[in-house]
Amino acid sequence: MKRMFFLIIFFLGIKSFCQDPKFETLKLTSAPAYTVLGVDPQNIQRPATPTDFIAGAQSAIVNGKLQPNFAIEATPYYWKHPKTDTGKRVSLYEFIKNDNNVFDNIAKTFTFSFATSESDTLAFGDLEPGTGFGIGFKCNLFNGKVSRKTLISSLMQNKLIDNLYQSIMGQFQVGNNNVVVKDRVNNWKESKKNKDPVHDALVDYVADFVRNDLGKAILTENDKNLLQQKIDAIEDEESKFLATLNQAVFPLTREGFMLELAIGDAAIIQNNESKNITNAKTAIWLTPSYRINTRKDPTVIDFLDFMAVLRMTFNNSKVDVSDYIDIGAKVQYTHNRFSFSGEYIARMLTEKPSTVDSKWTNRLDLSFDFKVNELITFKATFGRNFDGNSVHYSDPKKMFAVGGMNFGFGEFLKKNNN
Amino acid sequence: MSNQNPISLKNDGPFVDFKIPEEHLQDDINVSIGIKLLDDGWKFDSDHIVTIQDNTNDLYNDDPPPDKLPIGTGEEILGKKFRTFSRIRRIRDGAPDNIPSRVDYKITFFAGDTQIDEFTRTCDNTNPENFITNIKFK
Repeated sequence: MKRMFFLIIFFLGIKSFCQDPKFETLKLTSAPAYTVLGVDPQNIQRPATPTDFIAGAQSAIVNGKLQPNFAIEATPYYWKHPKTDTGKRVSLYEFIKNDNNVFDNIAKTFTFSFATSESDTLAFGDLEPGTGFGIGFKCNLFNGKVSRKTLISSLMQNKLIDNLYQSIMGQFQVGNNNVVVKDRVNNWKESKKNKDPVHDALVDYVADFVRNDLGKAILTENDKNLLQQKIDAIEDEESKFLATLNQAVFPLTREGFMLELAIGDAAIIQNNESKNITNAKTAIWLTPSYRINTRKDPTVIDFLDFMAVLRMTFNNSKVDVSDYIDIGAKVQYTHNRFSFSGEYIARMLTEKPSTVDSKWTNRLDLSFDFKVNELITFKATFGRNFDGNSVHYSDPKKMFAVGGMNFGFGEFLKKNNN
Repeated sequence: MSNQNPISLKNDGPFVDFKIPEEHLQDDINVSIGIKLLDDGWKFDSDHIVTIQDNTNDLYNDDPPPDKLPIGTGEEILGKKFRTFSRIRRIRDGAPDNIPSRVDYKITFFAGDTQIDEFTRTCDNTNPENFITNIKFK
């Protein structure tokens, strides 16, 4: 029986390679521009500077014509220090500040996407073939709460104390002897304040702490050892904080209520004639979710996610006679390398074509993911699917089962080419 | 580009002579720092402080690494001691084991836009790690 099960899974896997099935997942994991265009691009440009962005966008146009199979995605908030960050830098301060500031959340998470493709008749109905392009953005209105705020706040305080000590040490090392503690601390304080009241209160606290801890008005060359001892003590403590924080596989996680807003629009350049641009569809998603970090042991990844979606899709009448309203819910449990989820989406057609039985259809599925290693993920999905287009409406009771292995060779090759 | 590597780990090392090529004495000298994590599944938070002799304020003190930070013309900084302090904290981001990523640290000096020297240093999994550059301009 076991062998039979694995054989079925194996053949389902082969099938998935051949058919490249496209699921409409509840959580918007792809950029809205790609989803609304119905593409799943593998080669996405992610420019790190405004200049790179303009250069990337220009490369989509050759001899005055928009080229298909182009995809670009950008989060402008992270364009600040692009050359030296290599995309791996995280600011502890940025991570813990303003948990509930909607405008800050939007600024940090606003992501723009753009993609092009050859238009296909299933997704774009009776529109003339040509090049399709999608434009979209998504952002988080609410971003949950930091899971380990107390520990990260302690680390922040420690980091600031060390920074001030090292700033004073720097003065000694370059030969600027006889440091007037009050002046140095005040200069440091002014340079570190940034008008965030919580942060500025911490800066004031650290400044007072260091001034009292040093206990002298002027530090001379003879005090260098004393300063070094204080640095060693604070850096040892910081090392312990970090070791504790890093016991968790993902220590910088958020939990609680999150709300994502996304808008995407797809248009077609029919017959590739610039005078013949037609808007095909526009979609708006609102995805509320609630994450519970169920782990007791920080070395274990254990999340329970509840999600819902409300999506409106407005179609050009040549794409579909009806617009769609989707309402759905999903529950997902993630435990280390395993992930199980169940998802239900009901779709209502605003205009029921005479060729279909009902203006309601639905999709229900159960998914199982297992990350075999850094490169290989096994995924299986079972359930029943609606067709995304009322013109090609199919019976929702028709079952599907698709499984497969995702080999991350693209990432592997990319890494080895860097 | 024959200057000795001035980067030390954890604590300050000796000040190393750094020869500014004569043809660049009138140019603005700029410094950039680059951080690269060598192992997957980690991110980093950092602090960078840049100090130069005869200036009682930090030239730079911020989290992102400095990018072409002006430190004065070649003539202005001649004979001065110069220090950069960078503290790199690795934070786990999915790595299967709690063994912090090694860090490749690079400091580059430019005269205007022309690179005049570059030094690198790699650290082991000590977390956090200090990278300290001590230079005396000649």
